[in-house]
Amino acid sequence: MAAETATPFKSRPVQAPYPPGSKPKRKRTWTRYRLMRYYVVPWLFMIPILGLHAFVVVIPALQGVYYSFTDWSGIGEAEFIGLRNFEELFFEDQSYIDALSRNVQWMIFRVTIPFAFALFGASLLARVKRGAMFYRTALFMPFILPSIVTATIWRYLYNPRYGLPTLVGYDKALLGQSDTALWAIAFADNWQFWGFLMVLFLTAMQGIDPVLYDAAKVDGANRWQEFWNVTLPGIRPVVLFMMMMVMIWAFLVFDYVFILTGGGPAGATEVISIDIYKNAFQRFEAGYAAAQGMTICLFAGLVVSAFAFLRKRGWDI
Amino acid sequence: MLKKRLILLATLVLLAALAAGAATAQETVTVWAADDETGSCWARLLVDTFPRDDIEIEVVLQPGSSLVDAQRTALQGGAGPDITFSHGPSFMLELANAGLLLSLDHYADEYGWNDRFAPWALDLGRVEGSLYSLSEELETVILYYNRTVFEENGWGIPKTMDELYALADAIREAGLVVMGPAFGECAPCYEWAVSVFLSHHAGPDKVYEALTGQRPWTDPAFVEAITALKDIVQDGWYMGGLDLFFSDTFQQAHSLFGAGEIAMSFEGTWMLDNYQRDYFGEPGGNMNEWDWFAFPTAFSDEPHFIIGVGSSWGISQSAQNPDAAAAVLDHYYSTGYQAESHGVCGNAPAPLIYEGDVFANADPREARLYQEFGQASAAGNYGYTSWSFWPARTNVWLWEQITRVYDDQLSVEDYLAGMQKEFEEEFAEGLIPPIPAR
Repeated sequence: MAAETATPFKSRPVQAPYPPGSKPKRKRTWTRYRLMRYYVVPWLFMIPILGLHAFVVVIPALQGVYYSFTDWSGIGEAEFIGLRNFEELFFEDQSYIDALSRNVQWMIFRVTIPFAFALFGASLLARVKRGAMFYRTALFMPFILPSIVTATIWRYLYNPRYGLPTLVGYDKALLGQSDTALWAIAFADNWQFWGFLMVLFLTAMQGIDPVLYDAAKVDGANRWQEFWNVTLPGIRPVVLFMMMMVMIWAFLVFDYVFILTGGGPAGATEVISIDIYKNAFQRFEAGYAAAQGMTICLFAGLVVSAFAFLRKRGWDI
Repeated sequence: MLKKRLILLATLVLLAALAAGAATAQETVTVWAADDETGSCWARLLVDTFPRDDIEIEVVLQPGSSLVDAQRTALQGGAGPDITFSHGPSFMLELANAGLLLSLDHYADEYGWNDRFAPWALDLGRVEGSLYSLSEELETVILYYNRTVFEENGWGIPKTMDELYALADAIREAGLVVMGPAFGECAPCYEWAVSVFLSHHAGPDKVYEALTGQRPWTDPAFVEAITALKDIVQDGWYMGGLDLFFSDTFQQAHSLFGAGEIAMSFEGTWMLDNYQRDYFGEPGGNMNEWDWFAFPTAFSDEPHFIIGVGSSWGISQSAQNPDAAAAVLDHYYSTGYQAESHGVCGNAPAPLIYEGDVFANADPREARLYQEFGQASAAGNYGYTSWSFWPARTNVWLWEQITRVYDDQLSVEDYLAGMQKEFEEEFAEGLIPPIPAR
């Protein structure tokens, strides 16, 4: 039945709905009908969303590609300058290279700490029966808070006069030092994000066949062995998919950095998106900013390609 | 006969209706304002006080802090408000060069703006001799001080840089922080101190020469100035330490200033209204008083000020009713509206020539500021704010890279060499805002 629905032309027997003598005409009509129904009408329904997608995504994206090869200031006419922006980006602009390295640091943090928190939290919560919903809601709650709210909370939590540092007798501002600021922001971001990952992992864990845990118990597996040999393989596709997404998102980080430090102190938290913002809106170098944006697409493409390659090699992604 | 009379009557009624319609037809002028207390206040005041019935001012309150960015994008798309707003001359220069602003020359003649504005302020809006924008919000950076704390400790007002250094030592000996604020929320605000030190340490004449391409930014006088600034920042004048200077908020710094834990605040004149309203006396939960003095110079004991404007206004090239927009601007830049906006909304007045006792109700400390500022300007004792006189890319370098100097990641010499490089490029591209002749 399912096959019938998927391939109606082959599986559905064509009955003769036409009287004798008018077969050729009727056949043409039926062919046109099938063409309309299966090839034209679906696209008619798709036109609004395709049109919207073209205007909102495709055309601006193509414009972005074009502007990356120009010296556009963000207003007025743009002059085509070929690969000059990319040449400057990769061979002359040290601040871009520094920003890129911070994005990579951010990515490493993001695929380790929040994942560890989320896997640990999910494996604990999977066994909780009473009040499970309360715990899940409480831990998920930060994810639905606006970044400005969360960032402001953390700004006060980090204050060395009355915040968390005072609890351990530390009197320096974590956000005000070059060597601690990026990690302080990443941790604040982690606090908001790991609950989301945890809920995803928890949902995936609930899909694991309980028989596997029973079998593990019969074999004498302890909690760690259950987690390592049953839970983790069972949720591996979700973990790897989220890892891919998180790696892509790491190149887009903006809000927390912008709110908490604006790229400071002394450029210590300047990631690519902050650099793009400054170039586009403060230095009036929108063409150069577009080129920087193109590199983010390139890095995202590299991440996706790497995962696609691993999938081809037989990884369960 | 009756039919003719009926036709005549109908015609008269129709004409009367058309005339009435024409009489009530209004031209609309759109203005965007930030959706905050100040933005909605001046916009409401503008609508309420505008005297002409044939023009309707449509105010669109824009949420968020990126009003200028949103407007820039809209203008590029052929939309946006009729009356455009931007951060200042260098931003308006970009819009004018892109052909997005209307020339205001004939409106300046029609409404007499050439006689109404301070000449240097009007010159800031000119591009290749034509007027494209009008400056608003007269700004400078001064040293506010906690007068109560000063009186308790017997500290006097410093008139020279040396006296300021001695005062800073005395403040620290008393266990207080020398000055605020902190810039954890505002990266561009680092430009305030750089602007002051370039003009008050190296001297405004040298800055003028640099801005007009006659002297490089790598000049030893500028190296000395930036080194002096770096030394006081690293010495903990600001907030007691570099980490707090980099990360604390304005509110924290101003609260500590009001409470007397910070002795001085190196702030802009836009805080004149806020200190009294929010941080001192009953609103601040203390019994303290504040006052101000001009930041001393290294070469004179007379008060000097850096001059600047907070923002600029112009008319969009795509404005439907440019004449009506000019009429709105004319009202906005009237001394009456400016005085009322200052009194009601706390806005800094536009750089107009004020005659008579327009600011009679102003706080005496504020009145003294405008008086001394006027006298200093007339005597040539004025320097330059980077946000009004530096081209965009050079200015971003100025405030962005100075933090690396403070953090010892960049030498003063390399900082100024980078500024010179950016400046040379923009100078060659003709992107330097008009620099009033000294």
